[in-house]
Amino acid sequence: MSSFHSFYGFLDMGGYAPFVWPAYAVTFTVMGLNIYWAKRLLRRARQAARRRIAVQEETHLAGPTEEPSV
Amino acid sequence: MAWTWFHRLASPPHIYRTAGRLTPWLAWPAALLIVAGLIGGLYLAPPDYQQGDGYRIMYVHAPSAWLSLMVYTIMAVAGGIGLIWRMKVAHAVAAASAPIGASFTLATLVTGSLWGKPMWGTYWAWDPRLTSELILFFMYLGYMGLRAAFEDVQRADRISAVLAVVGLVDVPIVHYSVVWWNSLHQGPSVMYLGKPTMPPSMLVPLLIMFLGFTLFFGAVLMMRLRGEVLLRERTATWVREAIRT
Amino acid sequence: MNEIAAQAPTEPLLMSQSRHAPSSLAVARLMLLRDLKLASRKASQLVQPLAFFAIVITLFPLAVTPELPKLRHIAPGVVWAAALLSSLLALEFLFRDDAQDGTLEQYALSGRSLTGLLVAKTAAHWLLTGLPLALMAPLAGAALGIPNAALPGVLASVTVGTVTLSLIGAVGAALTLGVRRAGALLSLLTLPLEIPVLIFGARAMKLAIAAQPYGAPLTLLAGLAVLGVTLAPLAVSAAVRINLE
Repeated sequence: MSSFHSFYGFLDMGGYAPFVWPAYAVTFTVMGLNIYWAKRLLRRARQAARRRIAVQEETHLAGPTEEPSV
Repeated sequence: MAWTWFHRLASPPHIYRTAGRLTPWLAWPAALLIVAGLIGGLYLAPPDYQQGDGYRIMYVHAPSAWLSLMVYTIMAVAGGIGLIWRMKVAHAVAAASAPIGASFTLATLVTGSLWGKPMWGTYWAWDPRLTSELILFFMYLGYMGLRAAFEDVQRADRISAVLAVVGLVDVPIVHYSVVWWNSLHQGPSVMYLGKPTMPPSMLVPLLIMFLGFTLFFGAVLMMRLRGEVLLRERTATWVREAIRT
Repeated sequence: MNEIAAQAPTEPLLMSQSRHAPSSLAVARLMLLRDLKLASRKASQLVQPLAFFAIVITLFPLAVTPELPKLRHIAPGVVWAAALLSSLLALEFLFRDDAQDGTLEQYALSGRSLTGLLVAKTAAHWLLTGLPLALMAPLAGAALGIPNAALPGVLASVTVGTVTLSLIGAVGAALTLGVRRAGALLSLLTLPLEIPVLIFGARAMKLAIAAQPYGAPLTLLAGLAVLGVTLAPLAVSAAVRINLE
């Protein structure tokens, strides 16, 4: 089944280990960062929306001179 | 009348909810496919008769390269749709795509140069594919730089959409001019992809990886899209409901 | 009924043929002449890109080698890279003054073709920077050891290539119209798009130096110019309109 005879052979990648493993590491780092950045963007957008709404509600409570929200 | 479903589909609250629901349905298959592709590509596939085990970089390099081009296309088409029909959601898709595409373009460059070292004897050769990829990376940087230069999201959306559409026209011209330039200089090009006879044990993991990376992009796009949609909704009441959860 | 019938033909007359409202084409020509006249009053604007071009050319013998046979080898690249960089210099201010004093806005509101006006400004830009660069390129080429017989080829390639450079540059200038201190961003946006011009232009020059027919790359260069003339004005006017909003 496998093309490698031993675990060491697998790690060695036929002598190409210094190129194969960093390539995989870089790609999966990029994928990990993408997930992290996406989560951070969503979190920040939610926080910003929450802050906006809080400000709106405050001005609503403050008095009748509210601007119509579109 | 026939367009009402379309407008409902493209309405920010609907997109926000759907994107949230879709995320796991894209993320889990992506994770499974990528793990399967890893096992197939790194472990089960036989070594190449010329490149030994070095060719296994292909399983991450080629899908990254595919994403770098596909995402640019999506970004430009979404931008164009946003310009023509003044659709906020389309602009949000374009904005969400750019950093993903740029990061995979960078991954393509790094993995390509790691592949190049054992094959060409040098980390960087002015190979037409890598050179086009480098120019594409600059285009992504320009797009994101232009976006960042505007305070107003609406204006950033529309201006950067014009750039993306111009870029989409120019990308094939750049690519073919670079290929033409390279053919004059007899540059080294020993990448694996042009090879017509790849045995199934090598090809199947590659196809699995292509699909896995594409779904991964879909999942990250959905997450970013929710954020971008929220950023574009200043005072809508649905936001109040949406962020309570 | 009678009133409508009487009014209908007068409206197009007012729009296009009245003495008080000159046609779009006439306005474009006036704009072109005005830009040329303005530039003739401020000679420094005309001279500075040329001086910059000359300085960049001078750097190479000093940095690489003063031996003409070696310089001749890199001359096409040096001349073209210098031309690309010089064409960037005046770009930032291509539409800026007219945007800031409201000329463009008035024009966009007037109902006449904004595109025509912007094309006229781009044409003026080419006449003021592209053409002088092209006329100076043979001089620079001779200084870099290009044989006299090849100088018409140098002139031809830079003349045709700078047309496209001005057009792409106009797109970049229009995109960054609303951005303060847009210099670096402008080069990041335009240079990647200009790479085909660099490739075909340098190739034509190289063939001319080798006393070989350079018609093929020159034709490709002309093709790019035609494509640019057709498509760039659309992008320029779209971007200017968005930035004026």
